[in-house]
Amino acid sequence: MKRYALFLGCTVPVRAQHYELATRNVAKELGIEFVDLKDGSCCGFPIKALDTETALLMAARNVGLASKLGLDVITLCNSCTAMLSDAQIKLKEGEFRRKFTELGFTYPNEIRVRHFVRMLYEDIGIENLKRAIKRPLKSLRIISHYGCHYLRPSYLHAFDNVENPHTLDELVGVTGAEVVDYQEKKLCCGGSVLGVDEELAIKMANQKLMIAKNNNADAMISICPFCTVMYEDNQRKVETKFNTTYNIPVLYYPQLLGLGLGLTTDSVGLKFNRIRVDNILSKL
Amino acid sequence: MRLILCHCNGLINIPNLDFGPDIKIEWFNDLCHDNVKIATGEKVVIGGCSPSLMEGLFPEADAEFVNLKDHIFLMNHSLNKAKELLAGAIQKAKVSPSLKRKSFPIKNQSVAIIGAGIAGLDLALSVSNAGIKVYLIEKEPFLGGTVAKLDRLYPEGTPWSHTLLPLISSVLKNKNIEILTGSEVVGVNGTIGDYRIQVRMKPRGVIECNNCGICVSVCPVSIQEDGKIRKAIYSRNTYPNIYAIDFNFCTKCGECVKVCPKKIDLNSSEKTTEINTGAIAVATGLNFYDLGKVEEYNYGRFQGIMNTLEFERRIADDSLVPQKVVFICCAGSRDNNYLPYCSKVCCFLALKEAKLVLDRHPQTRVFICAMDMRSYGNFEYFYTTLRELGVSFIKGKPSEVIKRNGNMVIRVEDLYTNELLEIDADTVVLSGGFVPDKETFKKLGIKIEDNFPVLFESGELGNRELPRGIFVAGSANFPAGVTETIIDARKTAFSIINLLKQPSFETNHPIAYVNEDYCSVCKTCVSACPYNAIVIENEKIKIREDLCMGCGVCASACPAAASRLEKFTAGEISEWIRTTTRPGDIIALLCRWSAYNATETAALTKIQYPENVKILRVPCSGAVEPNHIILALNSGARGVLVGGCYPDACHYAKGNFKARIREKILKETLTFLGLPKNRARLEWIGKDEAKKFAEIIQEMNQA
Amino acid sequence: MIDLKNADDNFKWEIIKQEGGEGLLKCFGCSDCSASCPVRYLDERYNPRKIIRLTLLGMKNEVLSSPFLWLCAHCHACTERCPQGILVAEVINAIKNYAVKKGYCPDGLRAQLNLLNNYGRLYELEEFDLRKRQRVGLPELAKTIPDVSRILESTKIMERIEK
Repeated sequence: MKRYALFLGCTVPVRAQHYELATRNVAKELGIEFVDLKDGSCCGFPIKALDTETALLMAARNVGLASKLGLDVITLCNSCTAMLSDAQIKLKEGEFRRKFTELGFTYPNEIRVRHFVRMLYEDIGIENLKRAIKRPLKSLRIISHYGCHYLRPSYLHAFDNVENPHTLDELVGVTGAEVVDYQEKKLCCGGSVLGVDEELAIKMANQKLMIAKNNNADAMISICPFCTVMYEDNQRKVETKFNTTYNIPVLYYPQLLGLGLGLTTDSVGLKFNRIRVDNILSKL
Repeated sequence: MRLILCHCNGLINIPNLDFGPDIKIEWFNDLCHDNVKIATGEKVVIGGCSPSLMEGLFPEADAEFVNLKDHIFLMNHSLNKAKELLAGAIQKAKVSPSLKRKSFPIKNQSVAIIGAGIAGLDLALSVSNAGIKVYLIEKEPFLGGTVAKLDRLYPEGTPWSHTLLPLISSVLKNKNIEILTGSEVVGVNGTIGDYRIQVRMKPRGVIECNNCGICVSVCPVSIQEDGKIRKAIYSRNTYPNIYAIDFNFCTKCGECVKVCPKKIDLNSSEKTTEINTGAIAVATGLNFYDLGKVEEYNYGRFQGIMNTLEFERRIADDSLVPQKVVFICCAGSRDNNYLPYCSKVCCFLALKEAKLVLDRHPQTRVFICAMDMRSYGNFEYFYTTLRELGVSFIKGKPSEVIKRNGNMVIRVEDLYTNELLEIDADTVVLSGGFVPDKETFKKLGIKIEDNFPVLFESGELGNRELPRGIFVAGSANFPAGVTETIIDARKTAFSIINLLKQPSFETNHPIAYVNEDYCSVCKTCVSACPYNAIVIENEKIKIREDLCMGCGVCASACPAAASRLEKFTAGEISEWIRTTTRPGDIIALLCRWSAYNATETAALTKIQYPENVKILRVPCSGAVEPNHIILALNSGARGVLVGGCYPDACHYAKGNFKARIREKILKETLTFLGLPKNRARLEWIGKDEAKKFAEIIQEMNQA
Repeated sequence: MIDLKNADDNFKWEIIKQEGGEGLLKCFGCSDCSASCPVRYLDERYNPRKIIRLTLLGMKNEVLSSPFLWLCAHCHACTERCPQGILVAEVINAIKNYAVKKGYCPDGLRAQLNLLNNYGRLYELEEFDLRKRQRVGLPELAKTIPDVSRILESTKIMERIEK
């Protein structure tokens, strides 16, 4: 039985409950056990621009919570993954470690930090996932959005090919769905600048939505709540600003995988998706 | 023993010198010009000026030098100090084992040249014209290397046939040159003057040929080679002028055998042979850095993206007629993620390719994206010509090449306008960097630093006293255009001819040797040696006389004092220290390549330092042993200074780092022995840092 | 025209001392970062190469008071491409940190910091959200996380943004 500490961050428990629901149900189906970090706080990423050290201390505290349980951390948000991974390395530095311990935190066991999707790829594997598929989603055409901090910076993650990534595409393909091949996989959603310059962020979100539309995608797959905020929550704003229609549902990967594994639409939280998923449901 | 002293035209004089009956004192007015006869291997003590100069005047002598000019007379230090230094040198010379004469007979007046590209061919011709036999070993079935694949050479614009074909023709005429094509060196044994080289000769497949070429039309295997397509059976317009089969790709289907009017044997086997030569030259040239690794440029993934050679070949026969070409200079070069260094020639290669395509198709739209334009020398005119032909130069490094609507788009920020540009093109040419053939370097034990051979090792540009029988010629040494490659090959020819024309190579350069009585074969020296010059033979340590550079690192590393450096043995250094040191002296053991020279600079620039310094010139700071330092302190010295080269400037690669590590241990030992540890110092002193040297001595006097 | 008489040569050394600013000096201005930047592509006023060049020249006030400094999305496209191995996004972040120390702070970020100080998360976990979670069977989580404000206090960041 694979056992991990689940770190939710701040957005998922409040604004992306369907992500959390789908993740938990998929995990159950695949025999993965999650231990909750009830005291898990924000990972610190939003205030990294104000003070890197403060942000890293926040992230390190969360790493410490998992370390006390002796379990590797699984994250659901790209930025959380980057912050916690960075903090985990930083804890090896004397000066930072001292500040950390002075605040009363501990890091007794060395643990790894990984995104849920990466864990599926590495620990479960494509072949096992293929075998577990009960409802092939052959009629669906999916465009996968990696997001920035899932792969970058490469010195931190050292995973997949940064210029031409393929792991998420493979994972989407496992469900039987058709995967759109496109060049701008690495494009940023603009989430980090939403608080600073909304217009710019909307413009950035528009770029990938346009690619999704031009490629006739039935849905976009996201693996980060920040990205979903941009592509789903703000889709109407994008449509208004650019005077166009998209109507592209944005699913979290576990939702898609869950459907493929035969879970009900309710147990993957499809009713919480803000852009209507009728066209997907009809194709199932 | 003679004590030879130089008045230096009136600067130096020490009256009433007497070192006893066995020392015969001879004064000369000017050693540089006076006729002084010293027999080969004769032990002498010479007091004059800089040892570097005096070594050159008396290379055959087994000499101890005292620098009276720089250390006494120009510094106005006392005559007593002069006498102490001379006494020390005399004592050292008395107990020092004689310098052994090393002799390497040149058993074969021949050279094996690996690589028959332009460097190898030119070298072969130069050397064979001097009467030396040449084995020209080429791994391809044809001669000519990279130049044979080019269209034209710039900036003259000559086609390669101008340069290469006459050269090949001369090589063929020369009966002294034996050509082995399809051959690779698999192993090398032996030493200078007597190398044994194992060569594997791959089968050509084509036994008899009339050049009809019918085989090519039936061969089913097509291979992409540098922008053009050829079959597994093919020919080139160089030499040998018959076809050959590339067995890396041949499927042995037999179609060619069926149509061949002469003889093809698909099953001929490879042969190995051994050749004996006196020297070896590596002329393996350069390969392109694998541009497929530079993912953002999508080389190998999109059609229409190619390197400079591929572009040149496709333009030459119109198999590519581009409308819009974008060149990307520094593609994958000067980049920590890929090739960190600059390959020099790629800037003007891009200019050349641009000119080639404009010559053929003047309406082509050309962009060249370059961070810098390193068009050195006369290539600057070339740069101007291209601007006048309407080429657009963009200053910036493109971030990526993507595809859009069937065309390629290059994204780059142009620093000239500060604008982000997107340039569409049907052809993208990556002017990437070059790497030499490191495999061959490894097989021959050639030392590599940052991808290329270390040039300043003795034999190439360094100390000619050291026996080096393995040479590197042409662009395998450093990135070079065709002209520079030929010049380098000629320079190497000179060295090879000089070497092989003698009956033997003789030297009395001080090297390390092993006293077997003390050696327990612990192998510490083997790993300490920066030159892999120490090997195990018949379960004994053997220091190879042809590879040892005389740095002394093994000697100081040896825990049993079994390894010793000539002219720097423990016994003679102790004698020097004991004889020269007076209470209150500072003993300065200064590396001959840098720190020692600072004292000469001090004399020249009139920078004073205290008189109580006794200086000994050592081969490397890494050769100084802790025993020397402790002995000096015990003899009454108030301090010991070990002066070495700056980090990454050590003449012997890493001797000074060994010194640094030993310094730490030494300080602990001194504390343990109850001696204050600040009395011994290790400092990096550059050859011009006279002031720094003076300041250190003053500090040590106050400590 | 920029008059370098008013430049602060110490500025770049200050940035190097900041967390993440170490690689700054290696920049040779190739512009790969700017050409890779998704923000630059859409808004030419944001230019990472220019920010770094101005920092190296010592144009402290220009850089710190620039509103465009905050447009960096921290996506690391630049970091991946830099041929000199500079962690460009981290350098820009270090400049942001330094700007905050000197009293420049965008309102949006100030608001986010206050949320973290109060709730430990960017979004308050209200009763409504807790019940919503319960209804779909998601486990309970801590409502507030006092440790976070302890951390914020220890680094004195709240004071810095009050200026």
